[in-house]
Amino acid sequence: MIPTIAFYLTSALLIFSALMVVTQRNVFTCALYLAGTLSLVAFLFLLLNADFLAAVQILLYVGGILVILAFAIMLSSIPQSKIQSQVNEQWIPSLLVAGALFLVIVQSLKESPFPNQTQFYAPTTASLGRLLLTDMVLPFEVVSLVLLASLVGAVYFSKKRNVG
Amino acid sequence: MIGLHHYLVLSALLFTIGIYGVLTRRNIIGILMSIEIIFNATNINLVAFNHFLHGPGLWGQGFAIFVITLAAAEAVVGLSLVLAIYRNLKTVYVEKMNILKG
Repeated sequence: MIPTIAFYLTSALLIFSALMVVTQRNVFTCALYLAGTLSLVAFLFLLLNADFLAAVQILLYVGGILVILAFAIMLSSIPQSKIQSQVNEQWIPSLLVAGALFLVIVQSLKESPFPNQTQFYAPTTASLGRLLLTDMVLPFEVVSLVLLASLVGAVYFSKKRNVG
Repeated sequence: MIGLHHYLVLSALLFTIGIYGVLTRRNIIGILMSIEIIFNATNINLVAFNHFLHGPGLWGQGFAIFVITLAAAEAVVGLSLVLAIYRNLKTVYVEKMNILKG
């Protein structure tokens, strides 16, 4: 009973804050609602027996990406942004596209029964670390290369120079 | 009882909200935020499939960790590009970024 209530409450708040992220006029308000969205997703991870992943979600998304986003918003804010519309004139076709996509996904989910759903609860941190260093060691190393490349790329792009 | 389909419908809803944001936002930082929502919908899918169909295995959660890591890398590179564009063009609106047009 309690998990059901927790799931429905979390999903309602999640959908509300995601809608606020895509519809609010002020970009900084959007970033704050995005923080709420990401924290609620972390709560969903907790309901799904992913304790380590919930911690990673809070640490990396709410602690890392959101701070970078806030910095970017504050460094690039211009006075007109409160007056100008934040939505382009294509919002009705976009709404139709998004709604049609949602209906297609829900219809295909309706016709696909997934067999033997069992729930399994156990701590995941130790076995996740073992998995990352045995079976997933190749993507693990590749991700370190990607992070190095993105570090170099970020430094290169944010260097002061003129576009020729 | 909450089953797999509940989580899948929730993540489909989040995904379409993100698609709507990507299609309608004029501010490029808003587009990046909508992309983060899409990544989160994917992660919910991965973790829900792992939890309900593959019990003790953890491959879905491992994949979700890689998705989060790549989202961080993407945000860093994307936002440094946004700042570089803002320094040169003085705008964050995507329809103004048309200097590649012939």
